[in-house]
Amino acid sequence: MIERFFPNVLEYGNDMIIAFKETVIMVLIAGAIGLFTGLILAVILVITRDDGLYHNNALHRILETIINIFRSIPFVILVALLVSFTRFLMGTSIGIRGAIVPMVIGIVPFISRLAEQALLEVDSGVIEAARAMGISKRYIVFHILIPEARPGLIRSFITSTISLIGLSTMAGTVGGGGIGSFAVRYGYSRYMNDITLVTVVILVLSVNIIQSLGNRAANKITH
Amino acid sequence: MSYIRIKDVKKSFKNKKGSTTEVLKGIDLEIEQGDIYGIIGYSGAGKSTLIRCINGLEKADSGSITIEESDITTLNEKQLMSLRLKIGMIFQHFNLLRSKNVYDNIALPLKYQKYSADRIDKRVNELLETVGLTDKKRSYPSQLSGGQKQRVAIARALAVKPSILLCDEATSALDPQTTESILDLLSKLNKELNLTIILITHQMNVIQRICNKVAVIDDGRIVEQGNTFDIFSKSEKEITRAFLNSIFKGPSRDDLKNYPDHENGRLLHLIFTGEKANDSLITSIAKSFDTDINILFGSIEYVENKPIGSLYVTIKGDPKAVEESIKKLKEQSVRIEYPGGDTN
Ligand SMILES: Nc1ncnc2c1ncn2[C@@H]1O[C@H](COP(=O)(O)OP(=O)(O)OP(=O)(O)O)[C@@H](O)[C@H]1O
Ligand SMILES: [Mg+2]
Repeated sequence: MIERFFPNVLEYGNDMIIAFKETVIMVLIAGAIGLFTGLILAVILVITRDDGLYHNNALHRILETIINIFRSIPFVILVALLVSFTRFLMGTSIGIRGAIVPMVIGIVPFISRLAEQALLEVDSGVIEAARAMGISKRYIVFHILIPEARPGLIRSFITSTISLIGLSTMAGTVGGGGIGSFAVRYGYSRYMNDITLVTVVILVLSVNIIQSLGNRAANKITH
Repeated sequence: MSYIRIKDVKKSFKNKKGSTTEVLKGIDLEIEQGDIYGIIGYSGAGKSTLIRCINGLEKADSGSITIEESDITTLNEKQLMSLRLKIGMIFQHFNLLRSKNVYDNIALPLKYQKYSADRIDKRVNELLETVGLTDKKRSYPSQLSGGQKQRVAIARALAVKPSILLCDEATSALDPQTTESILDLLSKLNKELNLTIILITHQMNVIQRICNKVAVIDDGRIVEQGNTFDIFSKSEKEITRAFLNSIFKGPSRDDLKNYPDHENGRLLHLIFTGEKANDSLITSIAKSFDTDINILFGSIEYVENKPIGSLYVTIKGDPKAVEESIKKLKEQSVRIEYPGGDTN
């Protein structure tokens, strides 16, 4: 039965597992760097707003412009655009190492926007109350603003991670590596439709698992 | 010199289009230690702006705010932060941290001040006792009623033992019964801790129940200020009277406008203060001038525990006798309003 309908999956099964592992690694590394950077930018965006704790119009505008520029570049073009930079930074522009740089740069603007929204949902009254207690702005950012936004931040991280999986397939296609490039090389170029199908199933399952784990985590800390 | 002295404080805001609106147009107030000082005014009068100037959340453009002999308008951010330890603040919407339970909300200012865990524990439990929420220690704000949330906020505001408490519409989001219980708590804290309370509100019943002093603010100016009972029993100002009338149950203004004046006599709204808050005066006046005074609606309210009475009456009879009766009432310092519109 399996032999009949999924001959190629059987034959290239090991390669497929390796490719999947590569995707996991790409998403984890790019995710960790991207989430961290995105969160920092989001915090800066929020606190430099007009009504923010450290309002600074110039900084806010500059940051916003840069984010908007990067957000408007389609990812495939971004990968091409970044080839030299990636090579300079990582020593190569292909494989997992080559994919991570454009993935990070592709996802950071997205994460910072989502995280910004989550931070803006924190009631400004809470921050005002903290100021009225004589608490410093710095302490407010780290001990009140970010912790209060946690459920929203987790949800934004989940959405970003799922987008990253998408980016990883594209980055992989250009540079080689990961489940996306595997599906293109075998499923698409060599007409092995069973490989394409199984890849889709794996991706759908991964996305759903991440989403439901994330929801559970967010719900657990929502009071 | 007064404990808190606000002198000629002005504040304007620039809006997006670049024009400025003056929200505080020269505020003068003197508040003594141990006062429960009410500031009442309509929405947009500048109440929140004023109270936020007192702890430096808002910076006054000009004027001075002196607390215990030191002018806070000259303080830098760091000095303001330590000043705020002396001034607690509570809000209309409680402003508790959703991600922290009752205990941790109250512990927040203590943790920030680097109290030891033991001291924090002792102080939080003490405060929970004071506000009557010992059993809710581990609950999250979303599991509490509005009144309970405000109790947590009060405990949090008092954590570092301030001597002043600012209340920005602290009961406006609560139902009447809960409002009463929160006001009773504030009044208790005022007595037991000699806490000076400054509260702003648009609700007359809040002033009536706990404030010993009151200031009426309108359009960025203090219209009048003084002892609560004196202000409300003697004021000639329309806005003050309107606030006073709002505590009396009675026919609505529209109902009264439609009242058929001429057929049933002149319609009067009489406000008696102090010992005169009774209707035997009416009877004697009706007798001596041979007028027919008919009481439509009457009620008595207590301001600072002193009675103020309100009577809606119609007065009928010979026009001359009616005038004489009204004059006599005025001589007895009964305040008269003409809800029917006739003011001669
Ligand atoms: N940060 C601000 N920027 C611009 N305008 C402001 C700002 N804060 C307050 N105002 C304006 O100042 C006026 C007074 O506001 P304030 O909040 O002091 O009124 P309030 O008496 O507390 O009213 P309410 O009972 O509605 O709370 C309002 O017209 C408001 O729009
Ligand atoms: Mg207000």
